[in-house]
Amino acid sequence: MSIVLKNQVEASERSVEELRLKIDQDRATICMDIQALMESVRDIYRDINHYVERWQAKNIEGDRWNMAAIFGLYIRLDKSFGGTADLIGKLETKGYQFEGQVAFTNAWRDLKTITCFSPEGLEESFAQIRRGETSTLAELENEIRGGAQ
Amino acid sequence: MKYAAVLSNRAKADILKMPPAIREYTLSQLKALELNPTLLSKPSHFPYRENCQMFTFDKDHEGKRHFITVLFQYGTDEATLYVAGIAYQAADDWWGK
Repeated sequence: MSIVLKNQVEASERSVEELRLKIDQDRATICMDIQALMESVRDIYRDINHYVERWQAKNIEGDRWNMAAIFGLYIRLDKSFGGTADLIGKLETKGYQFEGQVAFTNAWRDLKTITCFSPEGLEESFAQIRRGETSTLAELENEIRGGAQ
Repeated sequence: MKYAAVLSNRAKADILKMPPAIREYTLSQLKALELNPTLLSKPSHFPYRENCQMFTFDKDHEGKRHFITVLFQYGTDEATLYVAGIAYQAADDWWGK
């Protein structure tokens, strides 16, 4: 048997092991990066909330631009949360685990609640209330029951 | 003292968009809110202006956790809860499944 062929086979075996190890190392690095990203988006969310608290404490009425700009940041941050969650989900299916998911999810839930209520939508809603464009619970229930019949 | 919940057309539309089981549960929770809004709600936060209250609850249904948040204001008559909007999310949607 050729010593060259033997060496080539041995080299291929080493390459397989080295690449497996490299993939594991790369995945571990990616997991650490995602873990850091989870913490980062939570920190950013907390920082925006603190900014809003300080802004609202000044009680500046009619600062619509600021409210719209902040709301825009919340919307963008929601997408970052979503992208992070997507990455977590993909790696979880491969058996990787992450810490702090409850805190991450709770923060995301709070953020999503904020983004569900746009400032313009709320203004319109309160305008509807002022105009009397409203329903009581009983009226709504009747409408639902009537529609179901 | 019992309050009466009054929903804006927007809030009504929010409820009508929900799956039937979640809608029914939300209506029952709004009735509970009428009985004790102080206990069940907390002041709303960012980026809303002051004077709003948030009432938050969950519902597990068909393998999903559903999160509902009601945003309302107390009426000056101290007998009415003006519901401005209702946020609804299903947890499974959050993980891209």
